[in-house]
Amino acid sequence: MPTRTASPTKLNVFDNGTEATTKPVVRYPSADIAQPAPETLTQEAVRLDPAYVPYFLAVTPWLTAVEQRICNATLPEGYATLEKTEWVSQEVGAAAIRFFQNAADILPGEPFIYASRAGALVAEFAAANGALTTIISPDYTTLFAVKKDQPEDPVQINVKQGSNRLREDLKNISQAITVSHGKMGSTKHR
Amino acid sequence: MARWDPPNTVNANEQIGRRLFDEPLLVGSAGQPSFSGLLLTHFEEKRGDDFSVDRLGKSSLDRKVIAYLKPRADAAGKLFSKPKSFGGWAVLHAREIKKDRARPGLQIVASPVNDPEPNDNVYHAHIDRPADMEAAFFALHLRHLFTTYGKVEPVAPASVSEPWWRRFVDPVLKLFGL
Repeated sequence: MPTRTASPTKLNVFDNGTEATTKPVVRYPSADIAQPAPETLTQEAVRLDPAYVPYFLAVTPWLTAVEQRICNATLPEGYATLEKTEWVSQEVGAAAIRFFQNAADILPGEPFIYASRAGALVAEFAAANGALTTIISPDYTTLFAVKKDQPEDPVQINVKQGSNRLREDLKNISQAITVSHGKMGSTKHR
Repeated sequence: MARWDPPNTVNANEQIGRRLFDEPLLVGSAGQPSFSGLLLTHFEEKRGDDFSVDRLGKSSLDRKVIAYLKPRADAAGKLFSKPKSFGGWAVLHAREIKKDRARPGLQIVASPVNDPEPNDNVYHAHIDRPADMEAAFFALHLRHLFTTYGKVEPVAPASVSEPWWRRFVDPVLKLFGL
């Protein structure tokens, strides 16, 4: 912060007795004052006040565990040659975490997750009246659901990432496979 | 009795099998809920649009055909960049694949492989992916058919051979806590 050291109205009296109105002088702190020593920075960075420790209730009891599993399996940059079904890329990992944070409250339950051979993240959900499979890639989320009493007519939906239709479609599917009534739609691409 | 000689066209009563190889799961994914179904990875094709299958019998599973195919499937598992063990087939009748449901039925084409043994396969066939079906949906659709209308035919894994002297050396090492 610059510090103002003179008032704009203050008069300077010169040695010869003349008076002159002076401009306000603004002194900016020198660089060594503006930037604290590294030791000070470190001390301030690690200081934690217990009053600021965040405490949030998860939307669902399993969301944190699923996020942690995805983080564990997210491959750092430069390791793309490793086995594809053991790891997911950073783009896929980020898309998957966004998906679960956005939809955890309307999904049928905790998923079983694994990676597809194409590098996407697959999440399998089982419910009382059917099953839902989601395939999450950086661009699209694919939903495939089968009701136990309608095995001939599975629902297939492709939702572009960021589409506001995702929650509505998921809600319809979740309701259809968790309760014994309700007809699901057919193949859709959005 | 001679082994079944497959015709050039795949009949509706034939048993069709998809090979199941073990796939490594996600790193750090322990503690998940159990999943009893077939993983989608078994139904993904990385080598093109054709979905490879084996013809496992004229109307039921033919043990001689399975005995012919088992060493070839074991050998195929070793060709992956990271070798995989062969665990059996997901099996169903060809008519379940050909049948029109909410979607039109799929075509199965006999496509024997005439490579040198063990890469040959007179029982090989493939299912063409329809032009209007994306690869992910194709895999999901096929898994749905095999899971809903078929079964899994497991096979004993290939025996792991170890040198004969291990039978004598290992107990001695164990005595010394090594």
